[in-house]
Amino acid sequence: MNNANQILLVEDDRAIRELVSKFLVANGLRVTGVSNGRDMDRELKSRNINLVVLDMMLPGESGESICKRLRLDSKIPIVMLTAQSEEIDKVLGLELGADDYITKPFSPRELLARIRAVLRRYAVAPVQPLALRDETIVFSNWRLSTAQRQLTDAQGVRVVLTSAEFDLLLVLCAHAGQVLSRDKILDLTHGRIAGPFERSVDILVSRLRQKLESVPEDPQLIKTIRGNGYVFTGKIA
Amino acid sequence: MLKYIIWIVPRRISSQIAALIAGSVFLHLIVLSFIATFYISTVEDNPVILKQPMVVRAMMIVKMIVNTPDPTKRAELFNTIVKVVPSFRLENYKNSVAMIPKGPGEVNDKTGWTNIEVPKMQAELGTKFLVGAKTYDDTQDMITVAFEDGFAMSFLLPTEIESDIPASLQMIAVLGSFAIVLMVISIWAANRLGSPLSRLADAASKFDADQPFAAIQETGPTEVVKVARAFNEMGKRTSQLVEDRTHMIAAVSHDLRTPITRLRLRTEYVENKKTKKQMLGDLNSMNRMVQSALTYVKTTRLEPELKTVDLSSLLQSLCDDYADLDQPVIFEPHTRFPIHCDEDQIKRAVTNLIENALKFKAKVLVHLSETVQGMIDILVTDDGPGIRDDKKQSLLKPFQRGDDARGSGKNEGFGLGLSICSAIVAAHNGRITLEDAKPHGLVVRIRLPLHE
Repeated sequence: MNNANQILLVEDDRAIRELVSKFLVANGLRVTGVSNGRDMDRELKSRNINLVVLDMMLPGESGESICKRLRLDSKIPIVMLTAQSEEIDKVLGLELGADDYITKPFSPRELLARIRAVLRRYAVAPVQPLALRDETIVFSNWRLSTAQRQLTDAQGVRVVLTSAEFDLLLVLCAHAGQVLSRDKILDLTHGRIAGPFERSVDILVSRLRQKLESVPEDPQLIKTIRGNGYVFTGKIA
Repeated sequence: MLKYIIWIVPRRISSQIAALIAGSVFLHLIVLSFIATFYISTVEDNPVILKQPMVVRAMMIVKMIVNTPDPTKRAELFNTIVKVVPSFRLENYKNSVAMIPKGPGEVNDKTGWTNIEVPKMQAELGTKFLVGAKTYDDTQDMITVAFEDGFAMSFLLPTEIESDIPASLQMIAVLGSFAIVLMVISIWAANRLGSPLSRLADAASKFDADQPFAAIQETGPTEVVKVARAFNEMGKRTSQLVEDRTHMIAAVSHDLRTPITRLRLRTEYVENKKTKKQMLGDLNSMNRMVQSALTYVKTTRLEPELKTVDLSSLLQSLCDDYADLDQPVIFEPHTRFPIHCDEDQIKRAVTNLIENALKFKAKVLVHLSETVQGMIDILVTDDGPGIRDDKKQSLLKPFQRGDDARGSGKNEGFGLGLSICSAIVAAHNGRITLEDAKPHGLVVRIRLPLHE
């Protein structure tokens, strides 16, 4: 399957471009390397590209702006190369809407693993990233902003969620009233919340309850359906 | 002796000037009041009424009359006096003597006449006479003087006694008010000189090269303006220098990332497993150093972006992320605790402390404590080797590494972790302290104010 996949690597440093290409090609991907946004546009027109690996810091048009632009008129998967891990929320959130990211300096193996994961996801169903609409979901006394990936309470106090907790809450809200199995939840969150343990969904749900529910032992928003999974029972305004 | 004098001299310019002026004014006052007392003392023991200028004139008239026995000359004198003092008239001696009580200070209730005693005047003139006073109308009293040789006269005098304060005291009052005015002016002048200097001292002690330089006002006396101007120029130069250096650190760190990334990619092609592992280790520490230098530059230059954030969920999320990676980091759950802070910076500060502890394979416990009113303490406790007391303070400064006990292993960064943390806490008007954990280990206490 991977043999058919054509990756477009947008990275201004020639050495990095060549090293990454070499590694990916050795692992069964086809790679075209370009150094800026203009060349990227040309390649996108002339070839069938399956995924773009995009550097955040580019001379000329920045990676940020290219990513935004790509998101506006195509559904092509994007993996960003970022400099700082602090930028996750921006990269994955509405602002850029990338499918995944990796922080420099990175292991080429990890990059390969991420590229494969994103390609697999798109192969199953060409789903849009979760937070692509700029909206604020309001339930009970909470406001969940998809653009800023933030949860605030009635008093405007920000309650901090981990990235995985946020993804899970977003999926639950988006499917309010439906019973979601653990597998389905993993699918819907694009596998991003999968930790090293099988029961990571359960752990995440329990953490979310600690933060959201007034009595976590008697949850009103996220209920457990024994043997089946979870259902979001909060009223979405 | 000299020491004692130096001790009593005030230290501040303003006090010195004020003391100098106050001292000289006080000296003047003493001298002037001596002179005043000496000259005016002649009138001092006379009864109140005789101190009036009008009475003095009246008594001069009396003197002239007494000294002019010749009847023709006396008649001429009377004519002149009446021109000067219209109320002057001659009285019937017998009537006058009958009306005025004889005892000193006595009052005749029927006639309304009061006896006024003037012993000094009597002695001076060498003749005996009787002085009486009586209310004439609302504004004037009538004064009658009866001499033993059968001569009597009367005149009118304003009732209102102008002042019962001795003239020397009056003089002192005038001088005193003058002194007060002088003092006020001198204090104002001294302040004008002194306050720009204190402002300068304040600015100099508050000077922080990591903050944008705020120039002070160049006002006050010429010398002070010169000093202030020099200070401002020095501040600007220092800030510029620090900024240039900071930019350089940022640029170098930033540019180092590309070669580090290249090397990281190249290590994939290193055959020898041991060498490859070592290279990866080196690259990791290089990356950490670059990252911490960039973070340090960023946190010390940026104003915190304050938002109301629940501190409890912030720390919970942070620790959960570590726990998910199988790291021994635990947050002791706490009820929701909203605080005004920069979420990313507080995260960064606590992350640095956790990373620091994890380097020593220590278990980390993070918890919140509300021991002091209006403050919240974030405590990061580890069971690592701890830090010696004499090293604790210096560790908060940039580029200081831990002591031997805590080991400055090869994976250490620039030693910026704690100073980044310290800078962030300072930007939040908080305080950071290092304490000992029991039985061993380190407790870092971040104390943040609840209201900015």
